Amino acid sequence: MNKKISERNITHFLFTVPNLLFYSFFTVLPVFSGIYYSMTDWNGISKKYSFIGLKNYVTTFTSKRFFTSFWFSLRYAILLVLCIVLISTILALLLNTKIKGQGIFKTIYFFPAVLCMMSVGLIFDKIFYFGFPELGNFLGIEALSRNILSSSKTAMFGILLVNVWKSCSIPTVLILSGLQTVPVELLEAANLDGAGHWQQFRSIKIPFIMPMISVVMVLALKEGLMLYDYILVLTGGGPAGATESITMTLYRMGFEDMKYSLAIAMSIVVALVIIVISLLQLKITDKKRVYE
Amino acid sequence: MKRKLLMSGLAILAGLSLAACAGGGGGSSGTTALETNQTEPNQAASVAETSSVTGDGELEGTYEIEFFHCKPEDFELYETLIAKFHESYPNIKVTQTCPSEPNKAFVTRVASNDMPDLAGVTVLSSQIVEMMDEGIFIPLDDQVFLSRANDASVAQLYREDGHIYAMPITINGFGVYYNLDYFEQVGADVPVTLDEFINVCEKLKTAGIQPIVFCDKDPTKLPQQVDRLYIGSADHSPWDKYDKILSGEYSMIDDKALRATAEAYLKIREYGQSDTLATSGDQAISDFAMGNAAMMIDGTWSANAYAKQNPDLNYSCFIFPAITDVEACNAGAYDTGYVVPEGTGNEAAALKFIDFLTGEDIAQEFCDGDMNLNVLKSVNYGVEVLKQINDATFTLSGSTEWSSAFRSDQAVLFQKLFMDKDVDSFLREYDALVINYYSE
Repeated sequence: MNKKISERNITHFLFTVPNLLFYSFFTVLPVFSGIYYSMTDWNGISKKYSFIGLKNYVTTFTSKRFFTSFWFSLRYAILLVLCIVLISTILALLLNTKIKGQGIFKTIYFFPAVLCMMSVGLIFDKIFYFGFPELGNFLGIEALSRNILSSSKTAMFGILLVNVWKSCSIPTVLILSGLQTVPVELLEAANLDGAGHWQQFRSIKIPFIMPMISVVMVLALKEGLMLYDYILVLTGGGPAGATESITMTLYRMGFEDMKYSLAIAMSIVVALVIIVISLLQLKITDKKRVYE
Repeated sequence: MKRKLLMSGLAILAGLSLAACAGGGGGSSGTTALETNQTEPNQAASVAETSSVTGDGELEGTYEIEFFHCKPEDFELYETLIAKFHESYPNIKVTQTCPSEPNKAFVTRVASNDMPDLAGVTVLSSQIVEMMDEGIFIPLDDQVFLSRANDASVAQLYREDGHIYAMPITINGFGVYYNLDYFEQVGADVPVTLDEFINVCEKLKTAGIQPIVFCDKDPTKLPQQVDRLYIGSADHSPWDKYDKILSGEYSMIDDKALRATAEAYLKIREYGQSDTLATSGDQAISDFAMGNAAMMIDGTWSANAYAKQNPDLNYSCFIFPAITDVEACNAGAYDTGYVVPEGTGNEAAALKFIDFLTGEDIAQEFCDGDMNLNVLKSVNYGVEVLKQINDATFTLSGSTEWSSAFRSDQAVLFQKLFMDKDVDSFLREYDALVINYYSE
């Protein structure tokens, strides 16, 4: 028996080898290579560079620009997570009800997922430029009569709107699938005991969909912290640097300022922060899930 | 047992096929670069079987070269020229590449050691100059075609090591595109001073025509505009003061030229659209081309774009008037210059293509299509729209001195100025910007 299990494990392992090699070559190796280059003064094009130890990391932690853009990314990511989780859960709850045309609604709400990010950004850029101001003028709403991307106070929310619109589709499907695992008997029993909709949702449904919410939160957090495409298309990091995310800072550091090694060091710091936040979040949500 | 062997074999086959897919193309983007001082021959182009230049300059053997350039608006023009080159040199196949964000893409390719065989780049930009000094390109000192460019241009491109690494072709400029019909309608002449410019704007505004369209949102056009207008119309070389700034003897807070520039930029924006920070470059080009505004401040590289949007547009371009007591100049940079990366194995074929492109008839055809100011002696510059720019005194713009990052951050400060209209705060932050960048 032990021999059989061992042989089976070897066979299973052999099947994972291709993926392991692929992953190692294209993900793990570049990470270690990046860590090495982060401790040099390589400018991206020079054939010669020197080892400078942790100097780039010291520069990172003393850089005002790094903290400003990282703070923007963090605020944005938190708002994005909240909006995506909330809206996706609401949509999933609505789609989980027995209504006519449920299939059509599912298709409509999933549609943004198949669109290209850049295309969505370009379309919304025109909507913000032409559509909303015209609507605002027509309705006499001053706040809507200007392009929200042109103000440093509102530009972030414009980007958030586009991002949430595009990114709610797949989380909705994930949470919907979680809702469909909730045992009907439990809900019926709760109903018979006089539990209201909110109590049923909080005490029965949430524990069952918590694994999905956990996944959605991690993915949304990563998406928020790595935001670049929408900013590039909608604001270019402006106005006046108000929407410069950490990825934009890294890009400019590497490709415009030719400080590749510093940019790599900054990206490693960001990666570590994402890992810590993700682990914390997984630990917290793990306590609230239901175990079968 | 047989089943286990079969499964193991399948797993190994799958792994080998994936390894084959993953291992293709050494030096492709995403891999780490520059392990040694050696550069690998570019695998995108086939290595010549034999290569030798005969006494009459003909190249033996067959070649395939990749021509990388940064001018998407010239893609079709280059296709035409490449077809003509093939007729003359059927043994050299040229394939052109022009990705989006070409300047950044070129830097990436150099970083990942994936050089094209020939590149058309903005020579004298800080990144290209750094590449020249790193020995990325072959020197062109002895090339015959070098003598086809005007002496002043060639002289400017020599590096400190005494070699020249780029063949200059065009320089770009910057000015104010204006709608001739609107100017005629309000009886306005081309303004020579800043006061005259403001008067023209007032006339247009009174006639119900939006005088200028700005694209202050655009992360590419705004840095170009603030750089070119500041250098061309206010202070031809502000960087001469930077040493004094670093030593504490001087401050940009007291700089009259910069203050005048900031005030002029704010003043002319009173004649633009209400929300200049909401308008992208493409939108502004469209607005000017379709007659929604009488003027647009832009580079000579956009001359084509307006004609393409609206072939009936009757327009020309003048130099922005002086903001201070300097002469108003065309602040420009080398728009196109050809460089040949070292170690590709196709240097001879690449040089042959440059020789072809700089030949009399082909150079004229390129100039007429590209429309930028041309530095080749044989070319008759006949682009009427840009005649005033061509006739103006030329001075190198900030793109030859400032890094891209500095220019981007400079533009951010100007955006802030346009939002809060606080010139004193702008000057303080500009001073801090200079210290931050130049003290490293």
